[in-house]
Amino acid sequence: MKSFDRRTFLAATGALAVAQAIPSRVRAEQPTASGAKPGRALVLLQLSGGNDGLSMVVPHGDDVYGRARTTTRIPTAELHKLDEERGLHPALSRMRGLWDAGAMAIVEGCGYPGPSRSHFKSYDIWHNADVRGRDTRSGWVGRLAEQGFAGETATELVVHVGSTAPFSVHSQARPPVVFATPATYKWTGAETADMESYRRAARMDADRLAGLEGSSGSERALARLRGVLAEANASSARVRLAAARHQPSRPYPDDELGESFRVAAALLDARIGTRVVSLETGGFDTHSNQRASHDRLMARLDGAIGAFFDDLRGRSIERDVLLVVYSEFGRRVQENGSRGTDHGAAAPVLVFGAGVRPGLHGRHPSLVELDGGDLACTTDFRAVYASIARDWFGVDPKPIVGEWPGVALVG
Amino acid sequence: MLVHCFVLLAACGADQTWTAREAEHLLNRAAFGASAVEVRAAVERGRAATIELLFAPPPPQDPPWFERVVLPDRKKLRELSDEEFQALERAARETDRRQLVELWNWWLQRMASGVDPLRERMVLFWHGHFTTSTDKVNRSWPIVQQHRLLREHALGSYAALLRGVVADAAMLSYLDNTSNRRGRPNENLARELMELFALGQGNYSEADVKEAARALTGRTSRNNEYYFDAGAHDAGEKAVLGATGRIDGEQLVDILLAQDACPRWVAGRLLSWFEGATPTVARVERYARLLEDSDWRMEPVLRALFDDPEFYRDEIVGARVSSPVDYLVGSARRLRLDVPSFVLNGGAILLGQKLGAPPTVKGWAEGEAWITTSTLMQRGNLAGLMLGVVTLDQVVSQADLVAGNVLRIDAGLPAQAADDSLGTASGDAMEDSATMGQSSMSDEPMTAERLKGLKPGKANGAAIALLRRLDSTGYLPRANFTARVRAAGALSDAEVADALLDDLLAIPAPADTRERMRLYLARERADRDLREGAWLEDDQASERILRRVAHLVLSLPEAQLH
Repeated sequence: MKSFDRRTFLAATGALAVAQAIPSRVRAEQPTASGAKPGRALVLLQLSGGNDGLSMVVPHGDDVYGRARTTTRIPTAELHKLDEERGLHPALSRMRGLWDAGAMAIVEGCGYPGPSRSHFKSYDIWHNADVRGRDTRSGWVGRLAEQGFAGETATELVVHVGSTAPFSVHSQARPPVVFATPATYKWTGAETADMESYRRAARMDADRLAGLEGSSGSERALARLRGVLAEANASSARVRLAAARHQPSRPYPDDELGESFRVAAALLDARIGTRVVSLETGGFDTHSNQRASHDRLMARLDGAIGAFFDDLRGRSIERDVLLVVYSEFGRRVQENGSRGTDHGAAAPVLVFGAGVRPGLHGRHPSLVELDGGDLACTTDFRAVYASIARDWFGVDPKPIVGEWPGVALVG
Repeated sequence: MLVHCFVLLAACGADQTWTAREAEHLLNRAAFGASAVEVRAAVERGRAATIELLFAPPPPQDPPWFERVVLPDRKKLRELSDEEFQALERAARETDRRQLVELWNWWLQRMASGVDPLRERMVLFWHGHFTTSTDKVNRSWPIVQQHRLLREHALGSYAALLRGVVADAAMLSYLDNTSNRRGRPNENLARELMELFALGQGNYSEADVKEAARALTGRTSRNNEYYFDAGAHDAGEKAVLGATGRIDGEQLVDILLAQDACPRWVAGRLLSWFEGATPTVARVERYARLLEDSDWRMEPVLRALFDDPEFYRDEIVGARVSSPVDYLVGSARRLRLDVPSFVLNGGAILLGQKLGAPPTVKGWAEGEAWITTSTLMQRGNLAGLMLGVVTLDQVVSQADLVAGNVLRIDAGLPAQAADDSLGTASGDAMEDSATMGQSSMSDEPMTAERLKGLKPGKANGAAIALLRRLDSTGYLPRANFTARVRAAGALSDAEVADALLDDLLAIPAPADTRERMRLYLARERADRDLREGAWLEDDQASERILRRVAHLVLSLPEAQLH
């Protein structure tokens, strides 16, 4: 095991800088070093807290739904009906537009066997793409970066917009760039000389790197932190320039999620080599008085996603972006008596993009044949990840999440 | 960090050393860090006396007063007009908002003051363990009550805390127990009680969660205080973790405390928190026994930990990444600056640790999760604000991006790098051309007009608002680094750089960092035609440079570890 990361080493030796000196716009149009399809990117949105899938893609045609859901039930007349069985939540009107335009897919009943009702265990499972939870060194996006995009050198290969990154993007070899907002992603020194000195603080000379093996915990931690600083120094100005240059044609919602999507569009539009933008939004743990709060959550989601795809329209990246929306679990079929729902299991994953194979994928879980009171999973979520790797990026899913055939999101 | 080791074997127990490194480690972990002077005092005091001092009763001080904000009862409300009701509601919200800000400001002030630091650290531990978030429970009175509960038992009984949180209005509201009623159970509190507060995953079943939820029915809040609604309580037979009977909330706590998993879970959480590393099974077992033997009292367990040679092992000393609170409070203490508490509060929010509002019921993800590309840079900015070296306007300004400025900043590098024997000059040049290459993203020049759109954003709104208070209070840092380095006997550039690194870092600076700081100092001094050593006699010339050094030191990756 190497006790320092590749990036630290590259930053120290200058090899990374050589690669980054190649103008990125040129790179995007040439065959990529990794063999992955050039220019394509993934935006991954986590709905934290356990989104009630039954209130998002509503099985209005099923009598059981109406009986189990007395206070959270949405009348059929209010839904955006997709067919005689399903309808989108009333607030999802812009998503309905994307559905009609053939730019939206719904993968039904996503989950995994032996579902955990713990938020944290379930995050670990989704982030690591392993039902044992967090026991490998990298998250699944981290492995996608390491294996699928090997040879691609952009510092911003994987970006998380938020104050702390989920385990999914964790990788020692290809660490993500993480910031809550571009405007404060900078270090400010009193004078130019201070800026220069600050930049140097990231450097590790080769002798020290070589000596790290078997060194103290403190020295190893320091080596990793210097690696983070090297990444930050390389990307702070680039990220802020990308955000400043991006001019959306229509405004985004004036909330954190809207701002996050705007940043995602800016980064991708700048073509600086970003393959994955990870986003997160919370508030989905609706144990009580769910209807009103979930309505607001759906409206917020619809506003941000609608603005994002409006913004992409007509840009060169329009056909190069895939958006995948998931939650760590759905909620129980039966309401809990506090006009809310407790932690459940399977739920739909939403996929958007001009390149998506639109419509319903997989099979809707039965509302009668339940798995411990919850919807049984009909599609393993790792099949969605595998399709992202194989069909969207054109890379072998096997070393990343395993083969998992059965879902084809594109093509 | 002091590099000089005073080894006073006589003052300690058998074959236990007491070096400056160990003294500083204890003060870093059990308190919030210490300046070089304080470390030296601890070494002289000896190990046992230093530990003893952490448990000494603090000088008496009046606790802050908070108003118990409640809305008038329903009957009265009906007599009010809509306007009158809205005015009452608005006033209550505003008082709540102010009281919450003041609660966290006051707590941070306590941490920075150095009075009773171990208690403050334990309150912080319990705050992350028995989590409640003001993002959901935004009334001040229940939050104040919960804070008082955690503070009262911080070094006392875990059992009392566990009993306390299932009768705590803020907790009951946060985990939806206020709507957990007979026949209509809500599992949220029951699940987290088992998963996070008492047992840990794998030590209970789904059926236990369901049955425990029934036991907790009726525990609710009224007028922002705990209230047991007997009519909503399910008094029927239940079976939880092998125990059966008409189990209620009190008995549920007893059942949880009787599980073998409970002391292990608490011991494991405590060790991980203080050591910053996952403890071995044997170590968890040992501390679980201590906890049982002490009848759940934390003080004897903490005494044992601070006296345990394993606590001072190489794997963990200086290897823990500082949380934002550790970083900000620790920096204020090492700088010996009276930093306004709103700067600590706003700074911690900016860095991802909003007191009162951990991101999930699991508390904060500690350790390296604190450090992102962005928060690493922002930590340095906050140190710059404390030192008065940079202003908030500079921190949020994007002026460096205006066409030409990005180039100007970096263009200086290759030439300068030639003097830096430790820098990789060719690497510098490459990196700069990479940054310059970014202008290829767009052919349009970056204008100040466009940069106006780059605002701190919603995510940072509350933090920036608190930090803005700096502009109106006329803050001036009361520091004198010139006097400090002279008192330390530092004269040469190397000695001055070492003195500041040793004083301001919690870990020893590596040789390359020492050399870079020496070069920086030498260059800044030479640019102003100041002579090595003698320049410190004129603090009008030296102080500004030394403050910039302090800013750089606290911006280093080294400054994020303790």
